[in-house]
Amino acid sequence: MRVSPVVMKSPLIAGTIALLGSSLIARADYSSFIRQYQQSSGIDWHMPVELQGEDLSPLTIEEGGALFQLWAINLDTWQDYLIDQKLVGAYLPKGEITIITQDPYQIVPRTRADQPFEVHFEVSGLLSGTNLPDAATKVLIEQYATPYPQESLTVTSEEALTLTRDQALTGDPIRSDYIDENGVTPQTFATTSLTGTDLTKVSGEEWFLMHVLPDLDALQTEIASAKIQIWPVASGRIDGLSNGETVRMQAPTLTVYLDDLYPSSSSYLQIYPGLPALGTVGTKISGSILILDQDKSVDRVLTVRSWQTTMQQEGTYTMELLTETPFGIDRLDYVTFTLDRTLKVRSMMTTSE
Amino acid sequence: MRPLTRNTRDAGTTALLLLLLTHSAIESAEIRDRITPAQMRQRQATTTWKRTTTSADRDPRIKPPVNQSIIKESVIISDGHFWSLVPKKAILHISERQRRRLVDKPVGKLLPWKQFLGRNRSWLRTLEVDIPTAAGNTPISNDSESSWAKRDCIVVAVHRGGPISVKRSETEKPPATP
Repeated sequence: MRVSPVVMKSPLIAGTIALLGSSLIARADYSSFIRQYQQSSGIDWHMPVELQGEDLSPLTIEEGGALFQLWAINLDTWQDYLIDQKLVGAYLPKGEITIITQDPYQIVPRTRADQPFEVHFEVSGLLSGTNLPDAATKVLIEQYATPYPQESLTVTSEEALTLTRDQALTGDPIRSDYIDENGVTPQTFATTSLTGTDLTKVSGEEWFLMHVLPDLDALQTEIASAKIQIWPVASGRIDGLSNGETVRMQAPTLTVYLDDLYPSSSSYLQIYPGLPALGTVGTKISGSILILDQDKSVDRVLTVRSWQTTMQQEGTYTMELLTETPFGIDRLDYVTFTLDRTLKVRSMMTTSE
Repeated sequence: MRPLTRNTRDAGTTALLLLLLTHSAIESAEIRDRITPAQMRQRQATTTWKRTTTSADRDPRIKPPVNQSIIKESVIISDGHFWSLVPKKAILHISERQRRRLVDKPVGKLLPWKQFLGRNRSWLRTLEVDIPTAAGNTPISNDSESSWAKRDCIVVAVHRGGPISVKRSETEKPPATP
């Protein structure tokens, strides 16, 4: 939900609301509307909206600000979801939060647990000087990091995985700070801030909020928010071929186990002659290629047969399990074996008289 | 490490990546071993930013943006088969017979306000109010009040079709609703 106050010729200020796509808003089994709550006068207005578009809020933005909330209610279960909210005021600072990752996925910012990302906090309308209230001179930014519930990760539903605001913002933020200058304040994160026994296997969402610091008893203080999805680092192994094994005429059937494949990835087996040499570009094994372009990470098991045609000459070979993502190519497993197709006949010659 | 890019789709880059994936030679790609948990922990520690440690560190002026429910903060109107919701203090008038339509829990299927209104025009009415009236600066006209006083109906204040709360002055008689 993007709210852009427009200063008209009159002292009245109208809010222009542009609805961005949301997985819940776009579904026909949900009823959506924008609620505008005037913090000073207490006016509470339910504004019916289309699934996508813009509309002008006719209510004035009071000095205490107007809280815009985008709600979606499931028509069958009556579960209500606060999709987004923004506090806008003529004398309140304005904020925007942008998250930048290496994944060009458009629906929601996302990245892998071990990958860096940037958060840009953009503030305008802050004043500087003495004897000014905090609401006019600084904003507070907070970071939350919430893992996806374990039970939701095992669900094989095709629905995208997402946390509600209540789920994501329960408890205390893990980081906070004040910004007292207008402009963009960038913050770089080397990896996810989620915690766990194995940090390569964490998944969840990180939310970033910006608050004003009002003097009056405001209903809400949030003026901007943004979130990023965090997905685990894939792992895998090759089964059916042991290190040092000799392959003869018929190559053994391989079972390839792939865990936590990144939603946008291509995973495959490649083979090349010689001992392991990381960085070697080999020949992809037909039947082992798995391409994903979806909303969440998944596990897969592949069976690969009749791959002996990829080898022309006898000798030592290395097979590697690779996964390619927007972040590069990672080797998940490898095995070295020998191809020996020479037919050895053991016999004993005897004569008889 | 690849340079960070804005979260917008680059069709050209995507097409090139797909083209490269169909060939066995990806000469320009760097292949690395999967990061280990120990390496990951070291990398995570390099992020530096002020950290909140306990609830006591939180600025007390910040309102936690959780535990909100539009349903709990609204009035539910039901016709026995369908229901909808309006802001509290949006109901201007309610006759005794129609009080049964205000329920604590939803009954039936949720309808958007416009559809619910269309189905129940026999007992559900609206009064278009302007902002000064909603803010309590201008009282509701006596003509309006008297027109519905004797009717067996519920009157909901709306502004441009959307239900809106109305701040009633102390001299105005509230409809005694939630």
